[in-house]
Amino acid sequence: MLPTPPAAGTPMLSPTALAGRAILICTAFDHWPLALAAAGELARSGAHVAFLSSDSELPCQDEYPSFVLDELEAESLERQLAMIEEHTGPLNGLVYLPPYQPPCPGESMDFATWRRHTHQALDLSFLLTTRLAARCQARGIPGTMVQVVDRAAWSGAPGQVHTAAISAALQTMDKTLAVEWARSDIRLNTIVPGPFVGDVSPEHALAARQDRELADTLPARRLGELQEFGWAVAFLCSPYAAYITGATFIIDGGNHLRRSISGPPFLSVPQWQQLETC
Amino acid sequence: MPVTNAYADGHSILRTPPSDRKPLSLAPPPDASDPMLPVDALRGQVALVTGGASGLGLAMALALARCGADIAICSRNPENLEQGLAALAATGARAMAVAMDVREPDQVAHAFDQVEATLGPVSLLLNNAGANFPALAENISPNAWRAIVRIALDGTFFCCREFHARRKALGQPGAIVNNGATYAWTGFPGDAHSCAAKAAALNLTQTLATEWAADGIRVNAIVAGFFPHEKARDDDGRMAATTPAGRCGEMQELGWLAAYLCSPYASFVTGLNMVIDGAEWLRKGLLPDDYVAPRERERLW
Repeated sequence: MLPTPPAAGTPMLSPTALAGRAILICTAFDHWPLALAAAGELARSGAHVAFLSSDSELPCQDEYPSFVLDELEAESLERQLAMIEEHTGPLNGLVYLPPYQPPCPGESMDFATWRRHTHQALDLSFLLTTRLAARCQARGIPGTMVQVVDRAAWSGAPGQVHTAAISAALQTMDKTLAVEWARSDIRLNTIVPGPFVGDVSPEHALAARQDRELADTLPARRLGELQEFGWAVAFLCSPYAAYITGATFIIDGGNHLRRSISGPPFLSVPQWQQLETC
Repeated sequence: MPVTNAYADGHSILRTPPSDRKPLSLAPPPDASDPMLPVDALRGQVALVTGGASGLGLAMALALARCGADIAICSRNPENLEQGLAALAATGARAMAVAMDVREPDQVAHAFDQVEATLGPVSLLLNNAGANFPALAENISPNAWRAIVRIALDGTFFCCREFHARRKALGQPGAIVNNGATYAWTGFPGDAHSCAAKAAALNLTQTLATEWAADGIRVNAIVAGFFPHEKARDDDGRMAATTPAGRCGEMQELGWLAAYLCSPYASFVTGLNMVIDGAEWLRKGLLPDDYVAPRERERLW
């Protein structure tokens, strides 16, 4: 098993490493554990943190300025960013965690469902990154952005054609914008998390339904601890990662790697799961 | 003042004229003396750094030393080792130098013995040893091919293998950081030997990560862009000008990434080939310069 990390709350960076950073974390309900871990580490390192979510339940509104996304539209988002900046000062950072999509065989996914998922995840990311970059550029200040994507970006993911397409799009969008904005000192990186304790990914749900330990499926033989995700985000947002942009940081206990030359007998999507209605 | 640029299709975009933009490159990093991690984050760890007497290897050794690790630097070239040790002495870390040719498994084992006898068991391994020179593939002799591939690939494997055997015998975890290059994924005219060796080293990183995770040993690689040092300079700024970042990497940036990957804060990170290159390897524009065949170039690289 891979060794366990230092305890949650152990600081990795100095308390002033992210001083002057105002970082917006945009997340969906199912990513709250990871999002809160990132917020904790960013705040511990001196950043101002605010939340924006498309979900009406905001579990951290006592700790951080938290806002419900009004509308997925440019002008509305600009107004909300201005409102958020009244609490944080000029925003110069973004951590974006798109929602998980429920598994669904491609042939069963109607076009409206496809559009809803891609619109939510991809369009929101595009709007946020471009609006934030425009603000940084207009003010002549640097920016750092971290987007969470699924390893499906390069591996595909049967039963999750929407996740795979969104992840690939987000990853290449980051690479493209990293090049476009490097001379403005705006960095974008992608982080690919594996299964973490307390997360509610489709893998967690499937393992639970099959009465299996998700940790047993990983080369690491353990799940990630949330603070490990927080440290990774803090590192990528910090000035210590000033030369890292357009990169992909995988933190998954080796989950993205091939295990053997062959595996158990191949099962089609309908065979391996009683899929949820999507 | 920001201005609005109108496009032919009626679309417009808010732009800030260049005169208003402060940054024209990625920001410079903090000072090299800043350890990034807590100063005792690697206390009790013993790091062996191949090719550690100068350049990228020494930068990683210094970063680990600033976080409390004891350091052994290795090189084929004994005179380089002295200057590496002198640099490490300034950090206050316990440090030693070992002459070793990573191509020879017996020398690798002997070096591990020497380090173990002086500093204790090696718990962090940084495989930085490498060699390279520009040559068209048809001009690379079998001996030259073997020299480059054996240092970058065989040497990495021999050191990893020795490290794993010793950590497993002790029942102790460990971390390995290998040295990659983005041309492992893209190829690079005039560098067939190193391209092939680096591709193999990155692939080795992934396989060893899955094989050794059960033993608590993490295996990652740093895929560095251009970091000028005494043997690879950019005095005229030619390299910096070609990068989206607008600057080359600074040694401490490489060191911080190595220290983080070696640290317990990265305990869930394994099998990662992490790029640090200011986006240098990504596509830079829509239309590249005219293609000049390598054999027709004034300068191959």
